[in-house]
Amino acid sequence: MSHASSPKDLKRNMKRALKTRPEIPPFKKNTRKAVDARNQRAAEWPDFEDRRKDVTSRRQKALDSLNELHVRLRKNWASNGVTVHEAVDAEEARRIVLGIVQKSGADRVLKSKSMLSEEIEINDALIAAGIESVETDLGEYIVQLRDEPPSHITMPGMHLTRVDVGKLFAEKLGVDYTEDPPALTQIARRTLRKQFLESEVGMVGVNFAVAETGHIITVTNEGNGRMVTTLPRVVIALMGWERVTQSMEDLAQLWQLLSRSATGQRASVYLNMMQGPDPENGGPEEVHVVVVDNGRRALERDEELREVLRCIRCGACLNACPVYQQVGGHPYGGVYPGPIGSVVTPALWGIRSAPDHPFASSLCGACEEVCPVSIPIPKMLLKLRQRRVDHRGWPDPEKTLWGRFRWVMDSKRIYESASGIARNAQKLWPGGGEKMVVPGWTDHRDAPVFAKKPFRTLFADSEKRRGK
Amino acid sequence: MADETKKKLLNQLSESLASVDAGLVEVTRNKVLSALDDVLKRLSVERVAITNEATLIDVGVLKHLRSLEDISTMVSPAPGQDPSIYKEWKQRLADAGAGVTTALGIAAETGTILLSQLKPDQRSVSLLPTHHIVILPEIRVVPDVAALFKLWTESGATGNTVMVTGPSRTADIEKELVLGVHGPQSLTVILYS
Repeated sequence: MSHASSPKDLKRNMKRALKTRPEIPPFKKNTRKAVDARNQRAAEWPDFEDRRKDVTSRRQKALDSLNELHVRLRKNWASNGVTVHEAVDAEEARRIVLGIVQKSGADRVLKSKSMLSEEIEINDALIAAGIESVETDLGEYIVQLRDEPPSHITMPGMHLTRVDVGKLFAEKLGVDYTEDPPALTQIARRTLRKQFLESEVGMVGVNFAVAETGHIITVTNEGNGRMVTTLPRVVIALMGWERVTQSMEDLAQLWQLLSRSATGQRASVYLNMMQGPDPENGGPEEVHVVVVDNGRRALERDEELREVLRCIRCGACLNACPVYQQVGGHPYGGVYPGPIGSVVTPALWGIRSAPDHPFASSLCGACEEVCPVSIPIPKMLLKLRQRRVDHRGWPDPEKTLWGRFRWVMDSKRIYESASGIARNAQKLWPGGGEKMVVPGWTDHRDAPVFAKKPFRTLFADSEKRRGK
Repeated sequence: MADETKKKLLNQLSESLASVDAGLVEVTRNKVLSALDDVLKRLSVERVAITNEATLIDVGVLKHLRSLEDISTMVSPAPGQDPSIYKEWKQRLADAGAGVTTALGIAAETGTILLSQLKPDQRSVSLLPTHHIVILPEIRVVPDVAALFKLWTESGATGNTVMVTGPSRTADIEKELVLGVHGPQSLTVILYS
């Protein structure tokens, strides 16, 4: 991942994005298509809600017995001939991967899509060590050529138009300009096919690992996930610590909900199920799994936020989010954009790492509604807002404001005199109270005007009239 | 399987395969070879790769392909070979017009095919050639993905495998559907009774 802005710059980035976005932003059009596709698939199953509940409880059950499942998984990996590595943080993960690649003697790694690989910034580490790292998912390939991070979890180049891609290919690959998606896809196929066939090391992300058999599951549509586990001699699988599922039965349900939620497909084109090395039948000689913690174990102990570990990275909440639809993924900074990113980023690495993320939401609840594993994202955003405000030594004007508000509201006497002063002060505004300007708030609406007489006076007057 | 249930499943399968841009050819067992010839002709295949599997041998596909004069046939290495032979085998596979395999099962609801990549090299034959053709008997049609998984676990199958739902696809450029990114550009299922 190159040139990603920091999650700390969210506010500035969002403002800039709103000012500089094109008239018809690609992410607006593309998210709408994705939402329609997902809704169509949800409607196809009359029992969709029940299935969602079922998958949610399967996923939660796995998380509740994660330590136990990891023990089974390791036992199976050992007997399947899979080499297991543990990484506490991103730095250790980079060191492990680099070690495996260097030992293989390869000077190039072919990569299938993996958000975790973005998280540990493996591409930069490989390049620094003189090893080329090639993204093979079409969208990832495009953003890598542009030297920018993906803007979406499942559609990395969703912020781009066909013209953008056409110009990019002409410039970087020296081909004739075309903006025809099939022709552009064929160019990528030809370029990458050659590299697949020469590859010595392949790297994949892990959607799930099945505890009862040790299978490493990768979900793809293009076939690149299969290429990098079929052709190279050495395969490295990057897995987040929480990605364990108990059984094949669980996997069957999870996969379908993932496919429907992510891209509106009934099933993704490929479900790659890798159990271990298999050189005698045309498979890889070495299979390495790198299990990455990087904040996950600590998050598991966080009672208020641990449910976010259920996330299967489908990206449906990004598509449904009115904020994401306006600005795309880049302004969020860091790795995970959209509603889930606004929870995951501060949950994994602390509220200081992404102080404004919990506020980049209208709390409309669209994200929770489409989440296949029912993560209560709005509730978590509120918790995180609270943490931000409670954070010691963090100056917060809003906190001060509410403190004053409480002081006023707590006492009848102070409230009455304060509202009296405000009522009279508002009248002094040139043009009347409704012309008052509160920056940001009155840009698109009039300010509310105080009633001429407060209710308590009206009430007292009417009582008087009735002779009481 | 009762006739009506069977008909319903086959109708559903035909709809789901069409929805993922895969082809379905339904034939009686003695018409499999001519159906395959038609598919190969339509795809202008000059070189075909085939897995050395019992089902394909039983139906006579292997023998038939070898007897064709205008098509050259590559047969997957027998299991348990020296790993070094696969390098060259895969290079040649990438130039093949079509790969022919069978499958353990197919799910009517989604059109998902369960390959068993164990032995021989189904994994590459179903991936590297330009087109993928799957030949399997009707009795291997199951209702849905859950049943497909059940079929797999109950058959005691382990090892590396893959489920395939249609040809390789992407929508990474403006969400416009394009077939044949890295994997096969088309998928044809020949289902025989």
